[in-house]
Amino acid sequence: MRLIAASVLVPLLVTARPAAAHALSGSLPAGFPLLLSAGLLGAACGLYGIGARRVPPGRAQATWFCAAMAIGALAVFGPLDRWAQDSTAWHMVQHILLIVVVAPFGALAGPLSQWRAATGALLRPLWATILRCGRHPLAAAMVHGAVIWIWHAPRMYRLALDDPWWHLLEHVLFVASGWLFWWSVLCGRRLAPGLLAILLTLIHTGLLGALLTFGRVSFYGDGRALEDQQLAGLIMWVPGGFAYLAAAGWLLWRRLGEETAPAAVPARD
Amino acid sequence: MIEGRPDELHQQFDEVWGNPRGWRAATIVNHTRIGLLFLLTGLGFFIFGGLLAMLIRAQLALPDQTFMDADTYNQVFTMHGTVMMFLFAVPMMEGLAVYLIPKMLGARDLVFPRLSALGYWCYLFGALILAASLFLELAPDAGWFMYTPLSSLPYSPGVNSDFWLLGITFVEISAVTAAVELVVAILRARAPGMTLQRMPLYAWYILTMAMMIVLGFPPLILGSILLELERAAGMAFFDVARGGDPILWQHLFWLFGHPEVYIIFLPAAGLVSTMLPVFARRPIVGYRWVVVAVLTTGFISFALWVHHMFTVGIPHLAQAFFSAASMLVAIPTGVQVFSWLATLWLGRPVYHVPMLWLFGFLVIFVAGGLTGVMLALVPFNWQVHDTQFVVAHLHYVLVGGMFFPLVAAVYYWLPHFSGRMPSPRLGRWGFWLVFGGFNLTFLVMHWTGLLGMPRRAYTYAPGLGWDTPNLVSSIGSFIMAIGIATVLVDVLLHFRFGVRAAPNPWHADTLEWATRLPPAAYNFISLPSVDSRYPLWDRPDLVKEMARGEQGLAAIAHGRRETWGTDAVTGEVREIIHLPGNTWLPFAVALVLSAVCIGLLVKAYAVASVAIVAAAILVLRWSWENGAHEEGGTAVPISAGDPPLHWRTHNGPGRWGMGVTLLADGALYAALLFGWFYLWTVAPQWQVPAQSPLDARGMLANALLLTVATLWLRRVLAALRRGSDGRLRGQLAAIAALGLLQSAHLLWLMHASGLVPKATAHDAVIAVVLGYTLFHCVLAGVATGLQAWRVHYGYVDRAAPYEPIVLGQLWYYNLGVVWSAYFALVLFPSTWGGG
Repeated sequence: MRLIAASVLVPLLVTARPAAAHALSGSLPAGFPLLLSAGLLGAACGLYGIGARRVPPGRAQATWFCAAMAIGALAVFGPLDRWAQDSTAWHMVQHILLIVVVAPFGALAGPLSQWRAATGALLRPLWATILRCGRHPLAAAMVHGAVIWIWHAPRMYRLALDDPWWHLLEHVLFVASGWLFWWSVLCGRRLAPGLLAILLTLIHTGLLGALLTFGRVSFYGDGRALEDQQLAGLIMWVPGGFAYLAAAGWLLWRRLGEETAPAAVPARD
Repeated sequence: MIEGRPDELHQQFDEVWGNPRGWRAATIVNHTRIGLLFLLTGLGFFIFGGLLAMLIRAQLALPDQTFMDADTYNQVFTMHGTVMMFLFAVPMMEGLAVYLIPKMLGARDLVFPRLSALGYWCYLFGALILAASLFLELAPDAGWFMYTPLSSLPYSPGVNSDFWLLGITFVEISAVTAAVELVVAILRARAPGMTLQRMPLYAWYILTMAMMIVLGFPPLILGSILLELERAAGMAFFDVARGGDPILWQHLFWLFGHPEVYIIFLPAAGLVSTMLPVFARRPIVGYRWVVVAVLTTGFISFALWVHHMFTVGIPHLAQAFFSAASMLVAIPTGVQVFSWLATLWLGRPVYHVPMLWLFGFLVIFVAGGLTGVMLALVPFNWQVHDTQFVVAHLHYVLVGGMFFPLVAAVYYWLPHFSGRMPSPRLGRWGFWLVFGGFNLTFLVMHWTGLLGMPRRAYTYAPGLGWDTPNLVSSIGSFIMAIGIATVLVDVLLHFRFGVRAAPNPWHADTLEWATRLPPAAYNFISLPSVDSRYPLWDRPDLVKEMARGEQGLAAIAHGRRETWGTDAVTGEVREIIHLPGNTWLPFAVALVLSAVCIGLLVKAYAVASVAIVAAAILVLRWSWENGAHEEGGTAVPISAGDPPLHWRTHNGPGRWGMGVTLLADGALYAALLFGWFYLWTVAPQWQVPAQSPLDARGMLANALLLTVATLWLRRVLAALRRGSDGRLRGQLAAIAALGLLQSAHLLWLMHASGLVPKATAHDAVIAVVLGYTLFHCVLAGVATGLQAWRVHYGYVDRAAPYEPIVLGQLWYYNLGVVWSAYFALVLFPSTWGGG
């Protein structure tokens, strides 16, 4: 409930007062948001490294974590960011990487125990809240879905393009809500709500992809090619959808394997 | 647990569960009877649809035939498709599931028996209304998918399309209710110990199918409502000049239509996966693979609808992507086919009549799948679009994929229906006539299509090369009809001449063979606990133990209909589900709803309004006879050590039923919002007024008001869960009043906005969204008021806290609706073009 309220309020404030956006970036140097991104990523890695000494992660978990961080760094600091300035499709690739690669990898890594070990009592309420939210896959999917849709509204999209601060916020929300979604789905104990959450996400991202694909005009400025936007929609719809499909199949596969079936031989005369 | 000898026990059970005769038979709610009624009605419409097919083939047998004129032909082919899809295939598959699922899961009934009865009567009445149109020569004639603008008012001015839109929507109520019921029964009423991993494969297939109906049918229901509003009330949704878009109909239709293919195929494949291992005499190979394949098939089908629209002018990029993605479907289907082949390979198959039909299924369905892969290739698709090739393909998939397994299933479960075994001789004749006739008809039809003959043409000129293949197809179709008649005669004769069936005659593994043949209304005297995937193979004595009343829940002296409520994953017993008995309510509601349907058809809106009010009153009365209400036999307490009755818990089947129903509702609402965004971004002449008609602050205040009411209810529910019901009645009444106040405010906002739904699609969609919201808010308010009243009667309190908790979900759902409407209607327009 609190999650939903937050997801409602944040964008509400944002859309109500677009002018506030530019006030944010007034006094600081232009490259600062990028530095802050790097700092956040570095902090995530650093805390994980410190925590890993106290609570050593499994090899698979450590691999997932490194992969998530490496791909995240590539998506945010690599050439993608530059290409995304003019191309809706490249921008979509960047976001899809964050949502269906970095976020689930990060969820599979389960870095909470390392972070908690590194930060001690300081952030315990935060971890507890996250743990609690992770028990509700459908709520997490709803929040994640709201974040995805809201950032595709033209004004929000342009805002993120024009102002690196908003872009940073966008990425943080994508990764955070996505991570929570994937974590509740992949690592939670409740199979049915998890599968349903994946299915609903598959469907609504497909519908959003369909809007981008079939739109008659470029949503995000006249300078952008329509084909570029169509490609963006299709990337979300088809390869993005494939990620959800694979996740659902894997989840069920894993759960069905938990109990070995009795080897029955039909009793026949 | 044992109260007497088995015969006495049977008699006592019969007093509680037995079916009345004569005109009171319309009150029966138990799943065995309802399932049989579904099957018989489905059979009736199959014969009806089959006769229409005969008319079509008679018309096309020779060039320049004058047997039917173009108008009649249009009605006949539209009705053939509609009847076979909506009145035969889906209800038949659901009916079989309604009949089989509780028995396979070791339960006495589905969890909402009155709902199954409502579903059946809605199906029957809706189907009769639709079928009547043909005899009035007013049948729908715009094709079974009713594409706009052909089906819009200017091009279909008669009442024909209205018959389709209203009749099919009415029938779909039945599809969705049955689906909700099946989902909850499969998840919450399995035999103790039947974990998800031990569930029969058929239950996995039906679970997937039912979820697909829950999410897949609402877009079509929405589309039908919008098109009917456009036709009857002049609102604009699909009219380009007023800012609509006819392609929106195609999206809504195929959002339904693509899952529909699997809604028909998956349960049939489930029948195959049930029967094949029994005849191969070994467990299915790759249970886990099959389950994952079934589920992913369901998932994929929600993302692929566009491949039905390759020729409507969608972007080239989209064609490329969806052509490639369509190939993906072959993987899960292939997994199943290879699993069946491996099971046969590794087993020691015995060849009874059902096996013949299963072989026929494998051959024909695989061939249909291959032409499906061909059609997924865009250049080929363009070449054969709207030709007889497509007709041949879809008949290979649907007849091969659904009809053949269905006949196999009829033979397989015949002992269940009659207590007798089928005879092999006539059955073989029937099979070979159908198999030969089918291939003669439709294999040749591929060729007709490649020669360029379009579908839906009522006749053709001679000398185009189409004469011979058409004649061959017509001859084949009559051979197939003779084959089907042979099968029907065989089945009829077996009721008279069949050999009495022994218990579990096929040596099957699933629990439905532990009933008497034919089964009693309560299925089992005592309910089994299960510790393996193949209960009857692993414990041959189980059947006798169950019949002797040595398994669970064998008490009946309390006069209640009971079955186990178990955990969705682990299958541990959670509660006793207290089932309602026979009642007139579902029949009466369906009857009144058909009055609504007919009233709308003949545009007698006063009659329709009265009938709607009557339906509402009946439904509220229905909800009154629930839980602690005296009607259900609540006087006798449960035995010591038994789990509580479900309405004394916080998490009974009703909560799940409400959740699944709201999913269906949410799918409809999501499709509506999709329509809003779609028209906004795609409609060629979309018109936005300079000033939004909605009062932004008013809308915000309205949403906040609902938020306050919902949070209050949340507090009340939290207290109720903790076991405190202080001032429950007053608080519920106040929350209801607050909800109704918010509804009144919303109504005023609608009135004050000055929307003109007839002028632009913009206003029309807003009006529908607000109307939808208003309906739900009023519903929640009234239902909550009723709860307050029930507290007064003592039906709801801390010992029976169930109903307000079930209802709470509707409030949360409404909160989501109101806020998303605020975002989509108020905030989104201001972000458009802001860049």
